[in-house]
Amino acid sequence: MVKKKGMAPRRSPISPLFGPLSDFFLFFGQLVSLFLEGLWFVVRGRISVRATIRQMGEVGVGSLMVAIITVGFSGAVLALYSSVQLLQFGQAALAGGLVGKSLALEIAPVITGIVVAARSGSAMAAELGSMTVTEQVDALKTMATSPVQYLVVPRILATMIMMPIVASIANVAGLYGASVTANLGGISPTLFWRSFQDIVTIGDQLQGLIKTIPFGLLIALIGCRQGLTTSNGAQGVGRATTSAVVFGSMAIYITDFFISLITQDLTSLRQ
Amino acid sequence: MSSEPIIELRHIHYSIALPDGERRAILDDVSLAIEPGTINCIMGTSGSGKTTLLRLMAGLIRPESGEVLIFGRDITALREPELNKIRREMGFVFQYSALFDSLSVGQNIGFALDRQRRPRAEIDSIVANLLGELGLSGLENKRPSELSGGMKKRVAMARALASNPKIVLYDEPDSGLDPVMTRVIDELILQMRDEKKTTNVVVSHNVHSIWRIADRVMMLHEGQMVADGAPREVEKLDVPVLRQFLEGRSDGPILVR
Repeated sequence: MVKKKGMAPRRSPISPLFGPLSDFFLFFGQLVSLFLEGLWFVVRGRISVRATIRQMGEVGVGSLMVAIITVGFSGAVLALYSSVQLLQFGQAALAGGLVGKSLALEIAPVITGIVVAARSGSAMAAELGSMTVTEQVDALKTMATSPVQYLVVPRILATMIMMPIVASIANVAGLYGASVTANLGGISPTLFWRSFQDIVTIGDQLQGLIKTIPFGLLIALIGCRQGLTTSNGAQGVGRATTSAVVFGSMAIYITDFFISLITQDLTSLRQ
Repeated sequence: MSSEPIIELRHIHYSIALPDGERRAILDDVSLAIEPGTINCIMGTSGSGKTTLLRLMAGLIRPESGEVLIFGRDITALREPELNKIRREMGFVFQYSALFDSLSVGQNIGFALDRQRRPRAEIDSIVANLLGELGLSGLENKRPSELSGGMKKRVAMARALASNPKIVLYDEPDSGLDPVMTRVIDELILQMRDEKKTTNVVVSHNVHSIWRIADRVMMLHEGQMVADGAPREVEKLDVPVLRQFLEGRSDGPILVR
């Protein structure tokens, strides 16, 4: 029933307690709904290859250099600390393997995820947010075009495709950064790379790269959701952009924890 | 003249949630029926519910209660694919044009046709014709950011008309335009009715413009229809809010907030 202006509020006295909880479920529900709607278009083959390739360029070009620099230096710092410790214990032969495994399984996928969330997730939220507040999203609907099909699906697919590519290149940069600092710490490149070959398996590399795919899905979903629910003009666009990075980064760390929990053989640690 | 209405709203109620949890009625039991091939102007002060009415007609929002019949079908319960079939027969000119920044003028105008997978040559021909009719020839490759406000409005009109719609909804087509450009837009709306036989719903504040083009004038005030009829009938009505609006007085029942 429609209420007249000035009528008493509907809220119950305890409703403020449920505010944050209901906001969380609303957010989560909207992400699931966006994912299912997008999946429906993908299953029916309603994919714009041209738009997806354009978005792959946006995600790849925008994030690659930043990912190379951040993962490269992270690898270098990791090698610096671990080389010193390993040399003290006479285990220099393990340096390449230790750093390589850390980079492949954790550092390269997670840091690349954070970089893509900051660079591309925020750009998606800003672009779609701006389109929402200037009624361009409504204009799409009036022309019988689904914003999910036209705007969201290409961004999700592009981010899911580009994440493993960017992460694998960043991983290589991390390894080279690590080999340089390990050499400065007294571990020769030959020893470093032999250790890497002996310890790091193809399975480790694949495991790290595969988990970047759900990261890509979450980054794009969150960026698009924040953009499509933007209100309050320029201030709202700013808020959507910031929240896309914050929620995207949180989603990466939480997902990373659960994927690691599932894939890691914990029983071997207990023995 | 009396024919089957092409648009009909029956007992529409629509409200929005305010930040404090209260609900504010935007439309309160609004009913109207629009005949094909006419220009119907809806006027009213800011916040009176005019744009909401247009958005309901386009299926962009759904009412809390009541029916929105387009071509005789109630669109309030339709799923998106069914709604899209109806939307293909409609054009919407947004208040601030809502042109796609990332596309050129030509791509904006041909957007709906491109989505319908029409042949490229046909799209190019329609775009060129519309640009010519609206005095925008040669602007196909410009970006919306390179256009003036009046040009953007005409491109938005061209985009709305590209798929040859039966219904065109205009949300304040003359806002921010000088009197000359307002006149140009008015003449285009009249031309569309006369030549393409479109049914037009125009939301506007501009009384001069409304009286120039309207076959029928309606006035919304605080979510309710307070006047409805042919321009000559409406200007004689003794409704206080209508009188104040038409005479542009600051004193009267319309509260200045």
